Amino acid sequence: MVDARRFLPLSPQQFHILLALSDRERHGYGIILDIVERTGGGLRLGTGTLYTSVARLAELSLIAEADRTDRRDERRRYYRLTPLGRAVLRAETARLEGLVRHAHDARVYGGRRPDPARPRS
Amino acid sequence: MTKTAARVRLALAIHGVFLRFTPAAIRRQHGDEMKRTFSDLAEEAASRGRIRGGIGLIGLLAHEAADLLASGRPAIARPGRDADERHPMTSMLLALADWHTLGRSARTLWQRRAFALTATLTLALGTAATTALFSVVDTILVKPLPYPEADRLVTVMEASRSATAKVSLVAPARVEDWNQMSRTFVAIAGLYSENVTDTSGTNNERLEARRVTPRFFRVYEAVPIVGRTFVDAEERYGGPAAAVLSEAFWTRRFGRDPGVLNQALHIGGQMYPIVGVMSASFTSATTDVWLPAQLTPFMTGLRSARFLSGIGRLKPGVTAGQAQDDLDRIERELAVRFPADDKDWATAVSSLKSVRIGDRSQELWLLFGAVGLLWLIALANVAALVLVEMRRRQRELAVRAALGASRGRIVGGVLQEVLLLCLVAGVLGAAGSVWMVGGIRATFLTLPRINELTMDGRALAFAAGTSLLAALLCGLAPAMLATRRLVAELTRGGRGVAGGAHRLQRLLVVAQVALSVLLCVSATLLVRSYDNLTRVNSGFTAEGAYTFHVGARWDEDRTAVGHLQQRLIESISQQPGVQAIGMTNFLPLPGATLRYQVKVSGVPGTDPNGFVTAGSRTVSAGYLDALKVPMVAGAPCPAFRFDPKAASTVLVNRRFVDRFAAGQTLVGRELRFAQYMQIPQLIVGVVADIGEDGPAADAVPYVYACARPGDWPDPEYVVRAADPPRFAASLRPLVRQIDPSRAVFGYRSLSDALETAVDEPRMTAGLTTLFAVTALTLAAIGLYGLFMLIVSESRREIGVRLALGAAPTQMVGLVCASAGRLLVAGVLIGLGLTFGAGRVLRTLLFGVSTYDAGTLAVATLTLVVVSCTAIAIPAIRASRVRPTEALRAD
Repeated sequence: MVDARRFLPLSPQQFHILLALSDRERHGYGIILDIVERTGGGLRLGTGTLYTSVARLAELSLIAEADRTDRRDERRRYYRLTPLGRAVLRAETARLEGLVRHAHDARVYGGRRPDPARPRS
Repeated sequence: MTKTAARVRLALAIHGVFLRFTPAAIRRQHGDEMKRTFSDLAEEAASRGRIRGGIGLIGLLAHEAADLLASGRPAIARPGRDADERHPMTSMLLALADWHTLGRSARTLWQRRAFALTATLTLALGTAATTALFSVVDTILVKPLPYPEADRLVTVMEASRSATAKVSLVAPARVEDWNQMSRTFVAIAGLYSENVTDTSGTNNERLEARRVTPRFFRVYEAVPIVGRTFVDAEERYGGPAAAVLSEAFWTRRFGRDPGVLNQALHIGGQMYPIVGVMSASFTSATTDVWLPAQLTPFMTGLRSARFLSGIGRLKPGVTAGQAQDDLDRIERELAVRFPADDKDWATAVSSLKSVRIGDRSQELWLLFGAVGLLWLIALANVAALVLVEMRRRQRELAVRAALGASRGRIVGGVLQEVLLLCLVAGVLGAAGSVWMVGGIRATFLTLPRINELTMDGRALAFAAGTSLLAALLCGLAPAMLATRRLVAELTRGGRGVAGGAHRLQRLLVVAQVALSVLLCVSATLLVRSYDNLTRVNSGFTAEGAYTFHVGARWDEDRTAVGHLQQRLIESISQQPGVQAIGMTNFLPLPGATLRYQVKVSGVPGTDPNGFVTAGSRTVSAGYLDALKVPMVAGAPCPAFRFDPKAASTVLVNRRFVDRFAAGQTLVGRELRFAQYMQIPQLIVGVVADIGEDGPAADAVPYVYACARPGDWPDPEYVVRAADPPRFAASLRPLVRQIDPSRAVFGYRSLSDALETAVDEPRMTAGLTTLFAVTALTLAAIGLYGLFMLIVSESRREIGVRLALGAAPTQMVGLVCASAGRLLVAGVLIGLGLTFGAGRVLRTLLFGVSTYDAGTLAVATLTLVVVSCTAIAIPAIRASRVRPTEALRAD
């Protein structure tokens, strides 16, 4: 098994694409909509970025083309997460969690972080 | 619904264009999908209604365009590294716009100072010259005159019915008739020139004045910069006096003081309150002041005294042709009413702009074209220099290519350097053109509209445009050429064995050499011709003679003026050190070649009526002495003083005798001018010939009428004094003593005054020399660039030859022989061109042949010397190639 950590870090776009495919197979338009919804409109991929990333992720076998095709439009291709892709997504999530933990420890949020020594009223 | 579909289709089409900028691999693999996905996005955006949908679509397209252009960015292609897969155009543009590499570009240029400096200066010079010439052409030929709706302004003149090309000034009565009867003009007015003396200042000053008829300023619709123009009352006869100043006079005399409106000029014993100031662009002429003509009713009624320049404003939408028809109709009516005066006269309407520009238009376009051509040659040369630089940096570029930089990226990087160079050159060039435009304004005073000439936004835009074009031509072409097989060459581990053919470049160099020969020969000939003109023996001595004016008007009382002139000449001749003082109506200059019909008793005429044709001057006794012209026979003019009983006397020149009465004695005979047949003139003497018609003209028969006081109110006084500065200092006090209301002006040496005769040859010679030097410089840069390129491309070959035992001097010979062939070809073609151009040149030359061997030799030699200097550097470089290095380096 290839070490998933070899692929880290992912770009935010790639992370979001993997995330969008984590629950079901989607086509390109579906991926864009899912990311828009998830980020509240904060990230809206263009077709150039989307397919450059898709091509690269497929090349690295993190995602693969699904078997199903759209009966209404053959041009619409579906993608699914590979086991490797899922492992990379987990590894990246863990890496990001670690980063967030470090940030919390460094109190980058200032005094807003609840202090366990002083229970809130 | 169909509308939405149409919008989506349009959006898809635009998307398709930007899709081409994505890496080819992605496009092959996912192109259809991308289109499908975009159409989903577009349909969703368009479904939100007409306006919101439209905005949504535009926003989507903008987002997509940016995204597609940037796709393939390393950040997206991560993880893992990959070769740059962007569209070459995209990566080139991105590299060009990459701020981070600016510092590196600047450093690279700094390391190649010699190259950067040569290229920058060449481009800056080119930009400056083309921009300056653009300003000139734009201001003089393209821009409308600086008046509101200037295309409606026309000159209105009289013309002889038989030959309408012969334009004449207009009689005052006709200006009024035309103005009243015309249907196509808003107004027609007239003006005439007059030199007046203003005595309101500390020194009396002679002013260039224009007397204007009613409606003059209304025709121009020009707004004064200070105060107002004339009101109706001031324009009428008997109305209050008023003066409008020119900006130049206002600046010179009043220091641009707005309080000038409370002051007045004092002209001819009358106060002229100053009412306004016109801006410098209002007139092309050197006018100081406009005064109302206030013509008397008698003058206004004159039909045969033509002295006004007519100017009119057409009604909106009226063409000059319609106005001409209108005036023709009026003239036919007038011819019926005033058959005696108007029968033989027609009218001539021309656009004011074409009259102002005159016949300079073709000359200026040609000059602009010539400068443009030189600029293009300069560009080609700089492109060659950039190519040399690229060859030198081949290894560096190849390494960058090996490290994953695409060709587009490398070209973009080079383009960035060249753009930086062109930016500096553009700024320098713009600054240079401001300086050049100033120089042109100060030098070419005779060009029309020259006082409107400034560097404006259009000229700056032109400079920016030419610099950008320069960057593209000088950067893109060499960069593309040099990177064509970059990676392949690196992997192959070598480069072309021999230098490329460079056929185009060789042709260019030959053409430049040829052009340089032509211009160098022309310039040398013109300079020699100008030199001959200044040395020509005109039959008189200008050195040590001075000329000046003492203001007097034509409408003054001639007796009073005569007394002034007599007293002036008498008092000056009594000044210490004055050897001779006299006056003439015209100095010996090409401008005043008037010809008269004269009859001499006992001399058979050259025409059926017994007349002969001769030039004429009116001179006083001391004039010919002041010029040191010797008498051949008889006596000089009688002394200059009032003597009502004295007969009119004349002198004739030697040529007159030789041509019309060879072997006869003309002294004592009677001569009559055709216009004044009733007045017999006594020939009292014969003088030597002098070049009255200018230095280049042959002597022609001349009659010198001996002037009597008051004959000519504003003559050229000519004085020969032993101590000119001392005389100059005494002149003004002397004139003030005689008459405090007179101004002395135009005091200068006779040599300076006569210089104007050679103004044009000097200008032509100067311009051609400038062109020749530029062409020579360009040819040198072209030769240098070409051979640097050939030598750096042939390093390997040279290295091999040296390694095989060739002497370094042989390498020098190799380069020189190759360059010599081009040089010989260029010189031969250039000499051919020179012989071809001989016919044109001959008309401009004086005292030197077009095929003057010495000139040809000097010009060719100059070219060869300059060329050899240019070739020396590449030749020496060829001899210093180290065989080991050259072979190992690749």
